[in-house]
Amino acid sequence: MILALYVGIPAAGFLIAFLLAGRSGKKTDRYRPGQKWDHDPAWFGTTEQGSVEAQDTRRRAALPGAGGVSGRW
Amino acid sequence: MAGGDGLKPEQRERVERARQQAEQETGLRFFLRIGPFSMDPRIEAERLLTNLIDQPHDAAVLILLGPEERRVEVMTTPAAKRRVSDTAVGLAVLAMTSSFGLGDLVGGLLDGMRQLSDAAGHAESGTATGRESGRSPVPERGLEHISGEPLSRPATAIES
Repeated sequence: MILALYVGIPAAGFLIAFLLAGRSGKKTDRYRPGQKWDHDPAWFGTTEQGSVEAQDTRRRAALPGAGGVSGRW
Repeated sequence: MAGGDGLKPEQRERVERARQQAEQETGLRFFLRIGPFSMDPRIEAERLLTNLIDQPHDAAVLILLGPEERRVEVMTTPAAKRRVSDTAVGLAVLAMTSSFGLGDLVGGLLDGMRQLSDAAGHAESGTATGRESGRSPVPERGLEHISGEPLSRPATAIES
């Protein structure tokens, strides 16, 4: 009884802590800067096919007076 | 990130919902692409945007995000530029790159669209923050003579 109280409970606590630490260290599939991007282009507002068809149909090369900014990280 | 285009279904849904909301609020068309650049990003953005819009005078914004290149390109049509200045776009890009640097691509896009939407204002007002350009309206006040009596006629010149 005394052995279970003074050894078992702390051991159980360490075991739980060990299991929780192992779970938190699990690798996620979250994107990390500099990571290679081996995925298809993701479009919103149109599709990849739609953008290609638009270029093939309209064949415009420039947009005079356009604005915008670029950024890097 | 899952396979395919690299986004989970819930991530796609969040971005699409934000895009539609931005379009509804501002009347601007928003196009976004996450993927590699095939040429100079600025040239590619211009070529894509000019062909995505129906008419050259349409108001639209294109956001190109290249995770591997670690670069984002935001381009506005001339009509959209009148409502979202390059300064405002720069601030949005700054917010986006802050999130991208932490690995939060979706969060960065949502922040960027929100900032661009706020800068553009609502579709009916057509101005930033929905205010009319210029001063806020001055409430009409009754003119009172120094004696306290309301003036009903223009004051006459004081004869010395």
